[in-house]
Amino acid sequence: MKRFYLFFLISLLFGLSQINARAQFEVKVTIEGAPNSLAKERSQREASQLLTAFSNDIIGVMRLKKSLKETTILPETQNEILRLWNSSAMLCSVSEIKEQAIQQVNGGYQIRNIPISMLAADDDDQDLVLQFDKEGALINVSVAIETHNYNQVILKGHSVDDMTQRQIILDFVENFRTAYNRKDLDYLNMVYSNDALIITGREIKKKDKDYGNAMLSSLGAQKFEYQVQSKAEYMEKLKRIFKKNKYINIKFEEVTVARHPKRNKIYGVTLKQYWNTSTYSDVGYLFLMINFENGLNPTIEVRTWQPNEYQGREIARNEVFSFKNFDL
Amino acid sequence: MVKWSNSKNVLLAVTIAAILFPLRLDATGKASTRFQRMMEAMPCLPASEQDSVFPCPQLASGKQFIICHDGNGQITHMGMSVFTDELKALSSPVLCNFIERLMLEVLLMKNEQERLKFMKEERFKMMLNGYPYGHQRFRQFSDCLPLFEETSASSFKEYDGGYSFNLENQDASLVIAFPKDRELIFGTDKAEQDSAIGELLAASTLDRLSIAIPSAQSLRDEGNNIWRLPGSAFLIDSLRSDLFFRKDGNEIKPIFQADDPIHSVQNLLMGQIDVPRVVLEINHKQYGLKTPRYRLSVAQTLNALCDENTQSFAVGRLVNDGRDISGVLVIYNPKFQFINMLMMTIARETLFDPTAVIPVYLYTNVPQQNILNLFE
Repeated sequence: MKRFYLFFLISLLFGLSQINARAQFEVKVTIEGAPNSLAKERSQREASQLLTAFSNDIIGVMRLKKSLKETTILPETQNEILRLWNSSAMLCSVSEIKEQAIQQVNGGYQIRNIPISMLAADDDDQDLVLQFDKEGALINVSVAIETHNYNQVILKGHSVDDMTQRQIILDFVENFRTAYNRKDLDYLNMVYSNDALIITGREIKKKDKDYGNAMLSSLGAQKFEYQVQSKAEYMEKLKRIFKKNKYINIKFEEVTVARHPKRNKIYGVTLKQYWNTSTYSDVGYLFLMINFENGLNPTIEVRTWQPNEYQGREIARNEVFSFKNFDL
Repeated sequence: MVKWSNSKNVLLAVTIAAILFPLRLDATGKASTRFQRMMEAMPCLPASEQDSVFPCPQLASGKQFIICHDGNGQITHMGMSVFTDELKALSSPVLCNFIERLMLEVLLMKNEQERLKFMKEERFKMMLNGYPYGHQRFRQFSDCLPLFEETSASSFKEYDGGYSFNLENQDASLVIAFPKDRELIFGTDKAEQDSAIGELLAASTLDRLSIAIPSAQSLRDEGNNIWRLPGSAFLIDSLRSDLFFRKDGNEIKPIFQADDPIHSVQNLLMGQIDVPRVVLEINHKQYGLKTPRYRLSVAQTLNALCDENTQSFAVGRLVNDGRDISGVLVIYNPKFQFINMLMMTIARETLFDPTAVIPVYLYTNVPQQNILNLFE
C-alpha cells in the first residue's frame, strides 16, 4: 500500500513537472520556539529549501546538488546532505510541516518528526532530524533511528533524589534484561518477589473468561486472554525456555518510568520488549511494578506482558497495563 | 583508506583501545562470551596464541583476520582486519574494532537468513550502493566484501542516536548504520562491563588530577566572593558541570572549605580538588546483586572512570536539616549513551576530615538510549 502511495505521489509530481518544467513540489516548514526571529527565519527557510530540493531531484526539475548550491545552506552541510542522499534518495510526502524546536545545551536546536520515505529501502518510512546552530544555520541532517536522546532536554523542577532513583531503576531494568540474555535464573529468582503477580496476555482469539477477579477483568479480557502465573510457575516456564533455546536476545525500547502517585518507593516501568530467541521472536509491552521499599535491593511485584498488536492493530500506550490497573 | 594492518601496529592500537575501553573480561578473567562464541565458530585459527593477522579462506578468500590478546593471554579483540593502526587511532579505536568484529560475526553465520535475523535483532543496517541488505541487488553478504580493499575510502559519521560507517570506491559504496548501543558496540553485556570497570578501579593507581584554573574573565560573580565557571546541565537543571572559585587577591582558588560544603563537594566530585587524602570507600553495585568494595582516592576514582569521551556533572546539597552533605556525580558518555553514577551522603565535617573514609555507591553502565520518558 505504501509503495503504491509512493508511486502515485511520484507519478503525480512527475506529471506536474511535465506540464510545467519549472513546477515544484514545495515543502513549507514552520518552526516554533527558535531562540530569536533571525534564527527562526533562517532555519525555516533552509529546512523548506532542503525538503523541496529532495522532491525536485526526484521529479527531475533540478538535481539536488544544484538546488543546494542555490540555497544559503552551509557548504559543509551540503556535503553531508549529498552523502546521505547517496545512500538513498528521500522524499518528504507532506507539503506543510510545523514543528517545535528542541533546545540544546550549546544554544543550538533541532526539529524532529519530519516524515520521509527512503526510496532505496523496502520498509523505510523514517523520520528526519534537522539540526541547527544558534543562528539558525542548518548544520546536520540525520535519519532518526529508534532511540531517544531525551537528555538533550533539560528538565526544571525535578529533585536530585528523584533523578538518581530513576537512574537506579534504569540500572535495575538493564540488569533485568541482561539476566534473561544470560539465562540467569538465580538472579531472576532473587528479583521477583515471592508473591509476584505475573500476567501474560496471549495473542489468541477473543475469549470470555471469568478470572474471578474484578481487577483482572477490568484489564480488558475482551482483547486478549490473560494468563496469571505464580512466580514458581513462571520460573519453571522460563527454565524450559532457557533450555530449549541456544540464545536469548532481548532488547528494550520506549522505556518510561513513573512513580506511584501515593507510594513514592514504588515505580512502574513500561517498555517495548523485542523478544528474540533462536526459536521464536515477538514484540510486546512489558509493565514492571518495582518496589524499592526494601532499600537498595528492589523487587518486582508485578510483571505483565501484552502483544504490541492485536488483530492487525498496534495497541495504544494507554491500553498498556499501568498503575491504574492495580490496587495497592 | 582501508588497508590491511600489520600485527605489530595493530597490537599497539588495540592495546591503547583496551586500556581506554576495557571491555573484554568478566569477573573470572574469562574472555567475553561473545569472543568465546566466535572462537568456537572460527573454521581456522592462528598457530599460536600470539596476536596474529592470518588468512582464513574458508570464511573469505583474500581477506585477513585478526586476533589480539592482553598480557594474561585473554582475547581483547577479534575480527576481519579492515583498518590500519593509524586509521584506528585517527578515527575511533572502539568503532573500528566494532566494524572489524561485526564483519567477522556476520561472516561466521551459516546463511543469509541467519544474517538478516541478526541484523534485525541488533538493529543495524547495511546498504550497498543504496540498496539494503536483503534487497535483490544486495542478496549476499559477500557482495560487499570486494569493497574492503586498500583503495576504498572509509569514514564514520555520528548522527542522532547512532553512527554510520561509510566505505566507498569509484564503483560502489557501502553504508553500515548502527545505534549508539554500548552492548552492541563493545560486544559485552552489562555483567561483563560492570566487572571490567571493577577491575579498572581495583587497578587504578594514578593518584593526581590535573587542575586548570580558569581566567578571571570566564567567571561569573555569584556574590560573597563565590565565582562560578558556568557549565551545562544533564537531565535536570541542578545537575551541572559548573565549577566554583574564590579570589584571594590576584589568585583564583577552587572552593574546598568547611564553611561552603555545597560548592566544596561539587568541586571535589568534578575533579577540581587534588586532595589525595580524601579516601572513598566505593560500594560498586554490579550486575547480579554483587557489591564489591574498593578504597581509592578521589583522583584514582576519577582517573579510572573519566576519559576524553566523558562529560561530568555533579550536584552538592545539604540534607537531614543541614547536618549532612550529599553529593551526586554523573559521568556521561554521549558517544555510547551510558552513564556511571556515584552517590554519597556524609556528615558535613567528614568531608574535611583528613582521616575520614567516605562511603559512596557507584552504579555503572546505566543505559541512556531507548528511553521515551524518564519522568512520566
